[in-house]
Amino acid sequence: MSDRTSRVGFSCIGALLLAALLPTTARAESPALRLAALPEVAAEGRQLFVLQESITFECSEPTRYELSCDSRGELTVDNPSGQPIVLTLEVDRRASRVELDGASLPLTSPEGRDVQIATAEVPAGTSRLVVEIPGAYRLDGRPSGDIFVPALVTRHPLLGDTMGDPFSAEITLQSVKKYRRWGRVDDTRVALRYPEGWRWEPSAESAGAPPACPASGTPPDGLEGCLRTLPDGDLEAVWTFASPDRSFFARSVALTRPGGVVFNGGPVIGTGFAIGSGCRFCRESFRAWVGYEIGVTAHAVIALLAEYSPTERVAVVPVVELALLPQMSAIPAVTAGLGAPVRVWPKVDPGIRLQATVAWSLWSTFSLGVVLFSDLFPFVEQDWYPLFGAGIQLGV
Amino acid sequence: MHTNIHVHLFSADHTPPAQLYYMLRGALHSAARGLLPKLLGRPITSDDLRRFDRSMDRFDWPWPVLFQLASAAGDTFSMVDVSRLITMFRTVSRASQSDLRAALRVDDRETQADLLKGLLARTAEHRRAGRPLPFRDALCDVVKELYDAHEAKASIYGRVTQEELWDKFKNSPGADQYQRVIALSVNFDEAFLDDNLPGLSSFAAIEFADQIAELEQLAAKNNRGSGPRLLPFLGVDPRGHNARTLSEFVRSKVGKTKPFKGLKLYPPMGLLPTDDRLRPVFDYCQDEGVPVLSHCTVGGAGVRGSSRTFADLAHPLKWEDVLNRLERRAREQSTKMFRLCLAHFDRLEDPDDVSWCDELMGLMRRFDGSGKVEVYSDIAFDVVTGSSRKRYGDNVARVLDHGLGDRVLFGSDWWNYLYECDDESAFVSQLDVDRGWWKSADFDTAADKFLQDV
Repeated sequence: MSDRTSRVGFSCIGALLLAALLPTTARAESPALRLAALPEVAAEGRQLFVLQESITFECSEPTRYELSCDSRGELTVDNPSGQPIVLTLEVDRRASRVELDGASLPLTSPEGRDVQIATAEVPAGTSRLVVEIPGAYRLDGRPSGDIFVPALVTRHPLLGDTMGDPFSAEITLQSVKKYRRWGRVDDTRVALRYPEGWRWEPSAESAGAPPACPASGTPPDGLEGCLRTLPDGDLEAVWTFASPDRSFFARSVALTRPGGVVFNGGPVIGTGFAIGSGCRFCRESFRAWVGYEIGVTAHAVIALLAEYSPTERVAVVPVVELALLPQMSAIPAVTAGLGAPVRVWPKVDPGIRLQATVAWSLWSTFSLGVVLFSDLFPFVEQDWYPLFGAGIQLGV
Repeated sequence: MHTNIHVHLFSADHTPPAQLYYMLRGALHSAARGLLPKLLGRPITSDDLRRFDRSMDRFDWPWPVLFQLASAAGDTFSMVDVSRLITMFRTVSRASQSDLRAALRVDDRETQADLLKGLLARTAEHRRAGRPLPFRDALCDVVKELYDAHEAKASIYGRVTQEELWDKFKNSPGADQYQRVIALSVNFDEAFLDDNLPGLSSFAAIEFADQIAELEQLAAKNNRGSGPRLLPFLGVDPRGHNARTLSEFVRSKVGKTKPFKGLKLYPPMGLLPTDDRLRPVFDYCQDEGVPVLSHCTVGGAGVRGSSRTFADLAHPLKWEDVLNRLERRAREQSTKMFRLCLAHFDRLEDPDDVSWCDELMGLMRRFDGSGKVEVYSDIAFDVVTGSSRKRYGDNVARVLDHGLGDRVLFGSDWWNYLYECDDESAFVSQLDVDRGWWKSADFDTAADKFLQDV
């Protein structure tokens, strides 16, 4: 079979709008979904039963926008044949350790497959099979990692390091029962531990966080689960699931790391000309400024600038700009807003500024912006107001 | 054309809903995806596509605006032909036209604008509910409703059998020209197990073991009578097997005197031809002259979204090591010809405009049978694919110019092509478009050679 692709692309206007995309997208790097060992040959694995399946996800936050989860899948396997059975087991390619009754099993990577395999002699009776996968699931929500770079990330490199909309992404938890390689999977217990500060979002499978765990700590059987706080302050969601038929535990959890309100940015320097100030590109039209920028949510940047010009001398300019369009490759991000320039020397004069900035993030290290502004000083009687200016600004 | 090398008889009951989800998602993504190289100013990478898929799933601003513009633009934004989608799903399911219109939220005009409007409405509902992936969930809703409509009728009238589809195919205008038809079974059992799509099952209602048992009986029954011979190919997925059990399974089912006459591989579902478990299977095919047909395009069932991760599994060069080994093997011991058809002669509609045609043509020239390994291709489906048809024709013409015409097979990809044209006659008539390149193809000779030992 073949896929069906489009015959006609977007219109030009669509193309332009496409550039204006979302702020922050969480990115999950191909997760490990086969969280415990699976017999390579279904027909052989079906001779054995899993009495208890326990999957534990231990998540940490290596950086603000990352959630990295290690998994441990533990199976209590029953071999009712009365004799040891030699099985080849498939485990995730990132599995670091496979143990049978505490003894580590050597892992090999077969040609042309995306798994590792281990050979195990499963003794008669019950035994314990453990698979550990470091970094089984990693969510990378850094805004700079998206195709579309949010406007504030392009606006200043230091804002790019810290700011962002809260993102949410799904973690998928699935029982090995789904793969139908074991004869039976009686009980499944799944635990997801994650740092404080992450919030449950409504997902396709739940309206939000599960209810608090009862005193016993064990949730009622099913997909709802329960949530509890661990002694170290981390949170743990727990599910237990038992089904005699083919149904299995599988659900997705959407977690969000709420963003802050104010994000520290950094210094900017700029230079340009005010066109309309009596001459073009002459000494009088020159402008230079230094300032500092901070982000407010993912949608606004506040800057405080100190500007110098030969005619107006020194002005202090607070500016608020809203994010309009994110950057996509060479297409710059756009912000626009209002400022309140105040000439402080030689005498105090308040004014109004309209300002728009187009900015590019350069190697995530610098921000290069082209600033367009128009100033009006209502209490100053000069025939060149309002004047229009343009300049180049560097965020460092 | 007396042989159609590429026909599907499995129905909605033999395919998991997840497969339809990815097919629809692929169609909806493709127009937007095509713009990425221009916007990025460089060839796009797998990583770009993964992030693109993710942003489409989230459907943040301005996606809704873009889709509304698309709806307003009507026929200038042709992503999904709603009528054809309905026709295709009706062919393979029990759902009625009105069921399908309701699920897709379109009226009797079946316009794309309505489809998009319906999707936007669903997406808005999920967005209001705070779902992190509202577009994905909206699309899952559509597929779920399509399948629910089918299930409701199937519970009354029974599952859609392959025999029903075989009858539909034979009654399709233009199908009476065939003397032999290859029905390709596909093993969907393991294809979508890693996916957890809300409301959608990763499993087909009818498992693969039952699919092939049904096909086996159908072929036996059909071939006792008159009319076209039905030659089933066995879908092979090594997952759930080791080399020994897979080889035993194939040996028990495939061969000149066995029910299945060839093998079908579908790499985008998560397997590679270099998988060590396939080695004894290919050895067996070489020893017995069993032909192998493998999906070979950047898209298709099983390709998850735009990401190349799965599509790349089907790349023709993934076969190079296998073919070299089999050629060495043929030198060392007496074997029959190993015949491989890399299907679809991949078109040039990849978002980063990378064609596999040159690589495929290189393999066809390199493995010309002199070393007892022969590479073929077929023109199934892709010959009717919209904007790329001209380029596709040009590329096939290049193959023919190189004297490889007797290794280009005719296949139509029924029922999948219902997304593009009506029936076998319409499919064949598409061949006349452009340069008439196909007239120098020797489809019947190619089919005779490919099926020589069957």
